[in-house]
Amino acid sequence: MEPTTPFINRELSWLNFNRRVLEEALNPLVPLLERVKFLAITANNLDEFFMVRVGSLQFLLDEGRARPDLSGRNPHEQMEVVRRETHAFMRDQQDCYQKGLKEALTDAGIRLLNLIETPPTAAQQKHIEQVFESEIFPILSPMAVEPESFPLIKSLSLHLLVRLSPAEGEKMPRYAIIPLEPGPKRLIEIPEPSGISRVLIEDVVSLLIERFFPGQKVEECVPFRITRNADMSVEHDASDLLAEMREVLLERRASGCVRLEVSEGISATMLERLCRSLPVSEDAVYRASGPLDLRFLFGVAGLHGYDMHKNDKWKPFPSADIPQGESMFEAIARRDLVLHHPYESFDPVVSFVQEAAEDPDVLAIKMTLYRVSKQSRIMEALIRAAETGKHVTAVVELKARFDEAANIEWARKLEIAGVNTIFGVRGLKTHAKLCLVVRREADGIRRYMHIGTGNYNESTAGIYGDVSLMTCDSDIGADASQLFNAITGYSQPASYRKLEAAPIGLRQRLFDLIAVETEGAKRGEEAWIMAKMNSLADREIIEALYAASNAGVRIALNVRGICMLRPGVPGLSENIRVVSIVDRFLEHSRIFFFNHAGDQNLYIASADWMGRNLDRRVELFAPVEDEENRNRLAFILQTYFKDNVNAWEMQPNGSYVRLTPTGSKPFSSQRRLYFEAKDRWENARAARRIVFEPMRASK
Amino acid sequence: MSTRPASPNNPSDPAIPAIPANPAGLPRPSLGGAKPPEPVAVIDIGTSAVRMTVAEVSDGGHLRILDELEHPVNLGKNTFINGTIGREAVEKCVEIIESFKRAAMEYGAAQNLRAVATTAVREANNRREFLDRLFIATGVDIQVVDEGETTRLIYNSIFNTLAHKPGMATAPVMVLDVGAGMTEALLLKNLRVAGSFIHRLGSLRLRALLQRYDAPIAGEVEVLGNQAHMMLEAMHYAIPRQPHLQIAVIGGDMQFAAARLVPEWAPGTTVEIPLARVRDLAAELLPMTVEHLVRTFGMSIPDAETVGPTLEVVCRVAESYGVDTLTIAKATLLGGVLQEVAIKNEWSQAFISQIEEAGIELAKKYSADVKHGRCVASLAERIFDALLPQHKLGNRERVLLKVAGFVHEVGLFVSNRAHHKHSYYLIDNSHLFGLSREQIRVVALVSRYHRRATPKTSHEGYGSLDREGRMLVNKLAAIHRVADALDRTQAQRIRDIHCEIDGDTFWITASGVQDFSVENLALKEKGNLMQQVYGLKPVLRHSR
Repeated sequence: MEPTTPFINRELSWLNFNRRVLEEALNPLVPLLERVKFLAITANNLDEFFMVRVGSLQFLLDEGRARPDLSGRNPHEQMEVVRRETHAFMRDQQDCYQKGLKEALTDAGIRLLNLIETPPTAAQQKHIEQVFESEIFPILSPMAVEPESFPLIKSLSLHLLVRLSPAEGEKMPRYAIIPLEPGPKRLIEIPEPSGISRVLIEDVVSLLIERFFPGQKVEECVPFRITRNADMSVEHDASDLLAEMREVLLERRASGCVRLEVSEGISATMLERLCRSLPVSEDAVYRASGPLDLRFLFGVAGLHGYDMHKNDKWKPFPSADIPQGESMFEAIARRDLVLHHPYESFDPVVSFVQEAAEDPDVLAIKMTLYRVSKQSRIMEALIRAAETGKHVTAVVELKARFDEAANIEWARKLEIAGVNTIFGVRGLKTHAKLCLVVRREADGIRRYMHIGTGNYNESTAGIYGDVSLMTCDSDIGADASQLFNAITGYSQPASYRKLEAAPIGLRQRLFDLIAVETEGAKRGEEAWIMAKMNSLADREIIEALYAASNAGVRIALNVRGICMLRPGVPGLSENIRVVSIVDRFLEHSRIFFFNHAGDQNLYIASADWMGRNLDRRVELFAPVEDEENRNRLAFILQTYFKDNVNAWEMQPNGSYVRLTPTGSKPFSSQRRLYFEAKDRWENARAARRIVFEPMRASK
Repeated sequence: MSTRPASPNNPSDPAIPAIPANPAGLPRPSLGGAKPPEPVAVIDIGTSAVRMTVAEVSDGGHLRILDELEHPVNLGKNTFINGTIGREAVEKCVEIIESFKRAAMEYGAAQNLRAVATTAVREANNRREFLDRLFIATGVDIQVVDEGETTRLIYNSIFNTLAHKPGMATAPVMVLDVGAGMTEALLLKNLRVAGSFIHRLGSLRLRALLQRYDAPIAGEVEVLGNQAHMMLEAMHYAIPRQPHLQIAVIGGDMQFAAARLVPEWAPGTTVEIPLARVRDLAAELLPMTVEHLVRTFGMSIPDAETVGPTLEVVCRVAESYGVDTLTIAKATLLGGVLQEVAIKNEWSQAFISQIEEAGIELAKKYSADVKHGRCVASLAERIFDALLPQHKLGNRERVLLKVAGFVHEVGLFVSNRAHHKHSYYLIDNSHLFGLSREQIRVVALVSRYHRRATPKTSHEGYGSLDREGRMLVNKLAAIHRVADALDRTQAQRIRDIHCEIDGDTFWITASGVQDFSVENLALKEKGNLMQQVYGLKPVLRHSR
């Protein structure tokens, strides 16, 4: 990746991120089952990359677009380099599994048998046949492949393509397809005297394939998997978004194929049949030397026991600022709260919504919902609140990629309960994380807000690093009402007092904040920007940062994923440093620090610095004003830049180098932040005197 | 952290003034010490947008703004160009009011929801159908405010802003509002209304005119100039040029100008801008198409349609008065309505005295006998208070009666033959600060009935009133006639009276005059209406 333009190609930058995740799977210092999980994560990430990014490139090629991207590559060149990189990456994934992890797993007592390479023993064979007859055979159904037609193949599902010998009197072979999903679980357990061995279902079915075709000869049986283009969305002016969204989901089932994964032993005949029927081009065929769809390793990583091969458990601590048993309204009214998840529990956020639902003084609850967990106490609370007559408004984003179906279902349930359900904003995705509670109190109406960098998703809140701000600041309350008024169509968007929102004012606000530092630096003042985000991919923002760097602003960026900015290039970005942290928790928070002539302004946001976030989404950018909270966020930001264990430093050419504790003590930012939350909690607990509350007999 | 702009929730913010004090100490229902503030909501159906403000009124009438909503809808364009509000705009309003109502419910303010509409609805030929449709669809009863009420509401809204602005509390200040349909100006001296002016020339009407002429840009400015010139002639008559005059300009277009010209300006606050800079901005905006304005400044289409002509008219007004600096202030009709809601729709004594002064000014303008007017007004007030259990009228009606006392003889300016009829049309066509068109008509009719015939439905103006309005005129005219009879000599012989009801007699006890024969004769002539309305015969007697 030679620096030809001031920008790194977005796709290559993303692939580079996935490679950093793969490096964790290869890292011998990481516990074995965590490494296995990292490998599964790379597979899952790559699936989404193919569906969306490769899908998008494919659309550009289909439409004949030739305009180069910021890195100077046209769509054809981008596709070429993406294909090259992804072929290499998937080979490396297989190597990681087969040459490293598989053997280590066996050593750890987790045996994954390959029935094709090593035929089963008689006892194993007997058990496999029993499972096949009782659990597999009754569920799976082969589909005949006619010479002129091909069944609809489901994206990302594993299938077996079976070649049968020609029928009597015929010359052409016959084909059948067996979809393995939905079906039995991927790993099948075989009890053995020395423990449990596991085999993959595709191996079991392949071993006993002839039982599906009695009296016929199976000549070949090969697993395959396709990835369909999922980069399609509803028309902006769709009058019925719900119906249109359902259409999109149906459309995706039959969209173009951007990847075909097959076992490398597939015959030319079989491959040709697949490529012709799907259809798919040769460069989109990915041959795997081992199992397809490595996501099955999530199941291995999650096996009960084997604790010595997992990270030590970090349970989230309660917030030090919320005394046990205290109402969330009281706690927030006392002072603004900042929660750092998952080091600190997400429960206060859930309690906030639950209390709001139960509190007779609460008049209204308004909430944005982007990705919600399947079991959600928050959603239950919203439904309960609506059923008991509160005014509840939920902005459910139907266009949240890959959560569309789940969100449609939630939207339906909310509507039935009487929630005023808004399906996002036309032409925009509502990505802001905001909950507003309007409460009647003795001195008047008071608004309580939760503003987050992460979703209202109780599952991911345990593994994603995010920040919550809970406040009843009246200006932020007025702004929150304004934002909901705009989203729900009650009112046209207006200017805000303290918050800033995309797509109207956020981009300009960021330019202004960067410009203040740039001008300060020109005057010789201390000018300083620290920013943490998932991705940095906006040309104008990057150019503003380059200008700031040239003016002498010190810029430290913590960008977990895509970064199109080239750091440390003399004359361009020599004052910019970019690090990326890949560790046990997914870095997801967006925190921003601007020195602002010593004011030291701190903000949290739902938005990354990407065009889509700043121009095509409803996003929120909120100041954190309480001094203690600001100090804490500044500490969190700074902590990441000290990491020399799980940090990668971006180089001018776009590559990354792992930072190592050469000559210094190892410092893991996530470990430090865990202990920071622990210390806060323990100090707070110690500071609170224990008071016994006697339980008296009633008179 | 950096300094934050003042906010509506900050009581020290000059943009949202506290309620004017209630100096007269008029009785007002007490909210009680422990009672939480009451949420209220006010909707304004304007010419270019429908707006709602939700606020809390606390004990003592203090306002705290909770939410402000705005939805552009071009009613003005419908009315000023087509004469009627189109079906699409009607349904859009239904949709907006529905959503506003829901928003008000979310604050518990739905019970205290008041909705008003201004020029675009007032002048629409299908105004009744529009109001009925909205009421049937949303249950919201919309009150159409007239020009006079608009002036009063704007005054309510801006009073405290000016009171707290150094130099403005004492200097002559013209509050100028170039709206989409009307231009309104209010002259304040020592914060008291010293003159007012309303003209049917607004930015949207001008825009419509320009489109009709389809003139090139240079021509547009000329058309605008001609229209403004005609307006300015009348304006100078109502509000003469005077030294040290300051102009405070209000309205959304001026807020836009402030944001453009003063980047550090905090919305809602008051700012002074040299006229030359506003002139430059007007010159920049006027030639731009609506689409260009929307694209460049991200404004709504209705706003884009008015901003250029508004700035042009403001500049011409300021130039014609020789003013070189404009003060841009925030005052809205909504703000004024909220102030009224906050004080439970009571008129403060300061406000009442301004209305009364406007009446006296009108009397002076037509060379009426002001002493006689004051005397009749004072006597009428006494009689009004004595009859409170009978007529059950309130403070506002008392004010109308007093104003009628001041102005009832303005018709003599035209002729002494049937001068009561001249009084009627002169008053009915006048602008009396603080009074609505309907209220002015009541004053005109009460004045008309100060002599000769008692009210009949065949009489002009009276017949057009509804039953309630006719009753009001009857009750007030009956009192007014008796009061006028008591000063028949126009020498203010009777100034102090005591009133008492005994059976079907209304005893009026006075002192200081030996011979009441003139007054008794007049009472015989004019007391008939009191007998008809109250069943009471007025009898004048000496105090013992």
